[in-house]
Amino acid sequence: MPTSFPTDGTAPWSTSSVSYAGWVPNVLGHLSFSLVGLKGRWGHSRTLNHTVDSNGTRSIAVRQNRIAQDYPYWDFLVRIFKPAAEQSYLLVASTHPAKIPFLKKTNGAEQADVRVFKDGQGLLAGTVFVTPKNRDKSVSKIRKIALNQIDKLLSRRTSDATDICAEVSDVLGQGNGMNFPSIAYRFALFRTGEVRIWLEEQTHLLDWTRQAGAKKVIEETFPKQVYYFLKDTLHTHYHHEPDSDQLLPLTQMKELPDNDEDREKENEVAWRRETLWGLARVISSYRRSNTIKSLRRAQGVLAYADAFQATVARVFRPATLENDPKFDDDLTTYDFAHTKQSVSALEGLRTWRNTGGVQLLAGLTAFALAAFTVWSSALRLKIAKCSNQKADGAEVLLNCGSVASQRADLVLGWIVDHPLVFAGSMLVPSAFIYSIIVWDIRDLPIARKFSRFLSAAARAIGASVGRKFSNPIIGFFATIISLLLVTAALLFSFAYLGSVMQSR
Amino acid sequence: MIVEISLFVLFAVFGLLAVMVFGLVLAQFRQGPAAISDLINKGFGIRAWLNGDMPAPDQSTSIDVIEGVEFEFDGFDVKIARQTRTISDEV
Repeated sequence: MPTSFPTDGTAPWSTSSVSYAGWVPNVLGHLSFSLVGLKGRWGHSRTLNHTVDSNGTRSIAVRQNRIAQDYPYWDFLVRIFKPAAEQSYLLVASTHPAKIPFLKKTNGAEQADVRVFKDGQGLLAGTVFVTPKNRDKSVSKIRKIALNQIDKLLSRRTSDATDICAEVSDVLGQGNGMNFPSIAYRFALFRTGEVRIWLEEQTHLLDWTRQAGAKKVIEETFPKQVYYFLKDTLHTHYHHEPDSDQLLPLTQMKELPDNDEDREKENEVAWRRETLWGLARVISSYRRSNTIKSLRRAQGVLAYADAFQATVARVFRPATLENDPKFDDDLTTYDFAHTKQSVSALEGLRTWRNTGGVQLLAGLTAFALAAFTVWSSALRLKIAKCSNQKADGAEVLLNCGSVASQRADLVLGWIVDHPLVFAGSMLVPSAFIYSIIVWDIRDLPIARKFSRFLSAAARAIGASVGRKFSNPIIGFFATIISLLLVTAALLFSFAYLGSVMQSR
Repeated sequence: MIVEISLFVLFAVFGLLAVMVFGLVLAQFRQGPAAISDLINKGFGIRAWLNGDMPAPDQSTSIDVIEGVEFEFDGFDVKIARQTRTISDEV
């Protein structure tokens, strides 16, 4: 059964030669397994998450097709030209009892005590089946039928399911076992966010896992993708771009010989240290960007870092399941309180500057409007002064040739004749000033994709040129020139459309 | 009238796009050649951008890099097994 998990003895991940540990970020310190399910950007995903008994045991299955986001074209084009970039991920898991540690410091004590809460549903254990596409038509057909059947099961109402894990396992076990190749990664996710991912030894007995190139991807690359998939099912990406969910490491554990306590400790310290370093690196990177958005994101990640450091970083879970989690402070922890103050101060400074920018923009706008109003009022006064009303109501202009200037005629005439061209022409400089002073219009949701595509393309050109000439300055100018060429093409189109509008 | 309005929308869109791309030029100036130097060191370039084959970064994690996989079977034989990698939207 892909969801089984022992209650005692050695933890299954500790006996595997391919085993990883990491942390699923959660700011509360406790994950809620009832919320497992997919949200957001990923299409073709289905979830069924329900309780199967009066104890609250959950049975959960999630399936989605995940596609590599490492190409500059849309997903539908990637599916056509790079079919290998898309794989099916199927999570089948159920909850199990587990020991959940928490720290409690009694008055006067130097160090906190680890207390253990026996949580009836403290662990989500199961399997993630990664099923890549298959060129063989008959195998591909079997794969497709099986995945469609699973999708149908997952599309039902929760009340119609008896035990989704058993039902999905039945589909996977149809006929002579699994008759399409799929890679099974076992995982154990504790309520604190601590996650273990490992390959069962029988996986290595399959011929295709030993093929050239495949072994490295199966043992090193896919476990990370399984980790990203698990994180996607459990949290929303508030503090980073959804594609950049590789902020935290998945640390490979060294093989653990029997009763080797030193190796066990080394492993346990390693993954917690890597996680802390990963969080600190993200905070520093955002802090260096020094924009309001990045600084806010840094604050968000700081909250997660605090949550990790509060408990998981100070407790280690022994490989023997009967043993309680132990206090362990052999880990260099970070002073996140001071970092928080520094990030807040930077953000305040940035906000102060932006507020100044908004005031400047307001002043410039008021000045431009006032200047135009004064000019048009002066012009009206001039025209009124030179016109004369006859008794029959007809208007006679006196010496207006010398009063109303040619320039005024030209400007007013153009505005009156081409109101849309005038409005469009005003929009562009306004957007430019707004973009420089207040908010980058590249961040507008519609513009973001286009701007990132262009920006990555220009920098790819710049990096290639810079590498060719072994000089980043030449690459820098190549980037600038390529972007300026696009700007010129767009300005030309803008001017051409304006002239078309004028001539109509 | 519909033609006029459509022309106006296109006119405004081209203008705004020009502003946006010029914003990218200014952003490049702000970052300076160091940003390109960093990308050269990371192994980014036209080929890496098109195929997602940027080499592995020095650090185990980074907000600057995203990763994926290309993997395909032919029956029970592995035909393609490749890690893909490119720069992230955070850069």
